[in-house]
Amino acid sequence: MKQKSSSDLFLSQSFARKAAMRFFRHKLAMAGLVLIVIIILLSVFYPMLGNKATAFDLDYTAINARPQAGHLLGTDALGRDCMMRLMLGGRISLSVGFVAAICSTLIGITLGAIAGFFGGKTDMVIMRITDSIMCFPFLVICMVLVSVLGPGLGNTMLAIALLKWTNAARITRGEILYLREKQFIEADRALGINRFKTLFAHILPNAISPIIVNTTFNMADTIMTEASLSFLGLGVSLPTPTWGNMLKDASSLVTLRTMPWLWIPAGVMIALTVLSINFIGDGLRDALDPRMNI
Amino acid sequence: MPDSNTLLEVRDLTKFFDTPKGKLHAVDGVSFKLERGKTLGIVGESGCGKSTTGRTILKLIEPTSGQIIFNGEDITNYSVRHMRRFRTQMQMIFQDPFSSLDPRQSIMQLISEPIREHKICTTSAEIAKRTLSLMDTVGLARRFLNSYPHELDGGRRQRIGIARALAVNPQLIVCDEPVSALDVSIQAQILNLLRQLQRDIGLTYVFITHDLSVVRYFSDDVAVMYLGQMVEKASSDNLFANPVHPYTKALLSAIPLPIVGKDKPVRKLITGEVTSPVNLPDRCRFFSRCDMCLEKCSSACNPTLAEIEPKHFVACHLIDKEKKDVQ
Repeated sequence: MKQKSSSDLFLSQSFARKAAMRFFRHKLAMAGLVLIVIIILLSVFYPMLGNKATAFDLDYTAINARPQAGHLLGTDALGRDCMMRLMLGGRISLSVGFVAAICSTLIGITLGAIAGFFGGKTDMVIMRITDSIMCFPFLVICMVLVSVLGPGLGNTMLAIALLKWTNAARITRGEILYLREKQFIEADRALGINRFKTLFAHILPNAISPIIVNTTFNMADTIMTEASLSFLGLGVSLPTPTWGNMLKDASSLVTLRTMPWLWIPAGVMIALTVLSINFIGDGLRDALDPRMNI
Repeated sequence: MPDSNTLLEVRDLTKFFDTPKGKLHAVDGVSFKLERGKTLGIVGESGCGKSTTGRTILKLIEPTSGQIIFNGEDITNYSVRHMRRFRTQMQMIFQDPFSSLDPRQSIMQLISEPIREHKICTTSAEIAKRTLSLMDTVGLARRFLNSYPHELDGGRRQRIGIARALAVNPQLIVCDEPVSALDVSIQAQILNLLRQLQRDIGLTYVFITHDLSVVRYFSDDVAVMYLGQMVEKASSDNLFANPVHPYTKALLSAIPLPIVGKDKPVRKLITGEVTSPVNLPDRCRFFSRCDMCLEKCSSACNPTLAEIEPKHFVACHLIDKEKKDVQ
């Protein structure tokens, strides 16, 4: 075997490559990744290939039709094609889920990191703001925000991002307070490492596990929040379909009992999405931790 | 004009921590001088302020009062920013090699970090070269370059800590119980490594430990601390041959000796517990546990260090009595 030269050894494996390899070896995470990619591809391409109008045009000749050829998932009370509505709804629900959850997590991490890292008065002010947002009823502030901004997809995302960051902030702050007292952080101080470098290179990477878990839950929660907002007419307004308002449409006892094609598909899609996001989160968490054996 | 051979001088260093019950005297009036290339051992039991002294010298903890003079430069009031540049001069080796390394960084990242931070090398090829040569210096095989701390044993991890400290070419290293978390066989390896580095690079050590046999092997001078104060300080040989303070005597007699049977020396045991370091009265700190107490010890003020013979300092009321006896 050829002896590696010293500089080869030095450059051989970057952390990112190692982590990526570990991620791809993580079976559950890969299953989640495949699932979410399929869901995304379906929502993007199914409406492109089919006739989008079937999701909106009323068809009184086929009301509450069972799944059949031409209507793979049947039709709803207004004769609209459920499959097309499900896929169009996927576009909205997924984008709200991803964008709003990631934005709110980023806001939360930033504020939590500032609070935990600087401490003192900064900490006090940020955490009191967090507390007051947490103890307000979410829907009430949301109503105020949306009535000021007007309903719509963008404003729904904005409202969720602005109000749902509190958990991420608290978790990040707690982790930082805990890690700050660790000896390797003191070792950094003794070595004269820049404080911000310590924060970004040592504290935040060690705080990543609970943050990732929180983000995945947050995505799931956001999809559900969007559904409740849409139901109240504060989110994405009808007739635009989302998984959430499809579920709400079907929430009568008769529908639930006799017309399962109206609610099972949307419910299954939400569940599958949330599940696969959670798997991916677990995989990311394990792949980023060199102590985990994958 | 400062003595050019003195690398570190500490004058009347104190550190009080505020607690709900009052002021906790962690370090209380510690003074010493340390010559270039020498080792000062600081010994004492848990909670006597050894580690706090070491951290205060490095200004990881702000001193309450006193002066720290490094290389003729008074660094006591240096700002955090100024201190950061000054860290290239003085470094620290930590007690626990398991918690003092970031578990998410590879050996390469850990060792090259201080090199990058202080711009000791700039190009990545130079950084790589220096990292590898540091690993050679501390006796870490190059194949561990991409390993993570949890994959290595305590001795190897401690070598990483030493390499990190050496990376910035310091003159002084404060070793805070560097071997007490390690197995005995590995302790010897690490001590030999530290000693060899001292010979090769001319490092100066402040060596904090509670292990007297280690300090005897390792130090030129030894200072014994009790409740935040130095009670005795002498050259290592002198202190072990001729301890004066009752506390030092008790400590030395606690070293296990390989003697059994009739010749086994009688141990001098200390009874009682350490006095609380909060709101201490102005009298001898060792008063409540001392078996050689004089009448004046209960009332008179706290004894200060006095030179009983060249370079042998003791803080005890007994010395005054001995002097009187001689007269």
